[in-house]
Amino acid sequence: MLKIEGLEVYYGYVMALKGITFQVKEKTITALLGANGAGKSTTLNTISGLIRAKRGKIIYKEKEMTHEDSSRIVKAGIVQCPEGRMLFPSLTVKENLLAGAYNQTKRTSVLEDMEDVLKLFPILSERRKQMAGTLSGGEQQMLAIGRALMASPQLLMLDEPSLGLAPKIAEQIFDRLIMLNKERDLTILLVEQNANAALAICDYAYILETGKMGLSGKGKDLLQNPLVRQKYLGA
Amino acid sequence: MTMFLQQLILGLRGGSLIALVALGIVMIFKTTGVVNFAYGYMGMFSIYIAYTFLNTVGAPLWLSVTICIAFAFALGAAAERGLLRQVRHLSKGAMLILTLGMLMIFEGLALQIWKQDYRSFPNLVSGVRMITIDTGRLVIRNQDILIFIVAAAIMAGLFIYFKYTKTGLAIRATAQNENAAKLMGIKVGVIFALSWGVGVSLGAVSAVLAAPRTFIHPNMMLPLQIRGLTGAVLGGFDSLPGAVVGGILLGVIEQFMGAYISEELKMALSLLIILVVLLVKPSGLMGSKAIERV
Repeated sequence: MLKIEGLEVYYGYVMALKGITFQVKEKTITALLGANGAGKSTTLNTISGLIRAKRGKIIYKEKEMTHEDSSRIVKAGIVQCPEGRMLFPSLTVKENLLAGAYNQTKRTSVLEDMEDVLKLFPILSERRKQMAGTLSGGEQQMLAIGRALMASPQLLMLDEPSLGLAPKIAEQIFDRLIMLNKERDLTILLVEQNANAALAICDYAYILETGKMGLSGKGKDLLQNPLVRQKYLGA
Repeated sequence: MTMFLQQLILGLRGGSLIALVALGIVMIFKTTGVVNFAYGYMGMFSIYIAYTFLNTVGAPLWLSVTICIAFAFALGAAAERGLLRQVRHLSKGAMLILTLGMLMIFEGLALQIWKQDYRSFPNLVSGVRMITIDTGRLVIRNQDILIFIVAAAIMAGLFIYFKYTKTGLAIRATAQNENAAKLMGIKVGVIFALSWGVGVSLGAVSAVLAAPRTFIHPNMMLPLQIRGLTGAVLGGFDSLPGAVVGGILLGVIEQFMGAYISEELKMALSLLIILVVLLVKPSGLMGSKAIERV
């Protein structure tokens, strides 16, 4: 569904991505792992069109999207739920969700989508009229995912959805992601520092090491890999 | 009592104009993060367009004013797209300096094209109303009533627009987090240009309303721009309702200072009051706690 070929990205003169290649297959959960500063967020932001790639290609459904505008990328069905949530703090929960549906043209389907999201995260339903900034961390993450879902993604990219959350809440969020993947056939590209959790739920995983692609393989296999265990799982 | 009410009416008239200016400045600041110092001068330049259409071309007043406001919208949007967008990636400071440069350019251009003369501009509506009350008579110009109505209509219109339309929501979202807005597929460039267009047209509207009293000349909007900035600071600078409240309050305070204490010192005394307010409440009357420094 998504193919990244030899992607190179610079911040000024600093090379952040040194030609990475990977792919996300339709209806899978693909994880992109790595330590802080490995280039995970840079990868997602480049796919989303916030950062321009210097070299390499981003191919989505056989079409090259490398230098497309961010709004076109969202329209094509690639939606990112960014690191640190990045909600609109003084918009209400409902308004945040509506903002996510900015590119949807049919009012009825927007309302249906909102019902779906509120069913997925019932707590948001209670908080509908509250400012997003007043929500707890877990609720904010649910809202961020809900907002991304409102854009009707075919490929949902999540940047550190478990960051700063209590393990129990993080587990709930991962459960919802599995559900979205299994029941609605949503393709997911998951960026995580919590390698344990991510490897457990993903079909395939890639490990980034300071801008270069390191190991990759099936989630289950990587969980057993002694090198990965030692380096990323603290075992 | 009569004098008090009369001064209140005049204060509200002045305050409404200040509020319109403050509203435009705050709107541009909130969405694009830059204080537009050329604001009043863009309004001034636009009203020269109305003047030219009215007197040189001989167009009717309503048409001249419409063209002037449309011109201001285009001018604002073009300035954002053509100039400010180009330095946006550098810093907010760079954009700020650019607006100062624009101020000088518009002032210079107006001087070159229309010279320094004071030119008159008609009231949109003429006539005066008298209201008799127990203790005397109040005088209200029809133009002042129009100022109230226009200001109130614009404020209500903007409120509804921001609260209930999709584009309004997109503007508010962009103001709060530009990158997140991009990730929602919002074309933030269009939003920036739009806010500049609407903001600068508010400047043109206030110029049109103020011109019969200030006359048209290259620096006509300077006092109003300073007051607009002050009103915006008083209101909190990042709050649209704050801009309206701050602007109207400033107008009323100034009028009372002038009437009861000293006409010469009214500006200084008003600023003193604002200074005290800001010492007590640094975020302004309705502003949010932290405003990013530029």
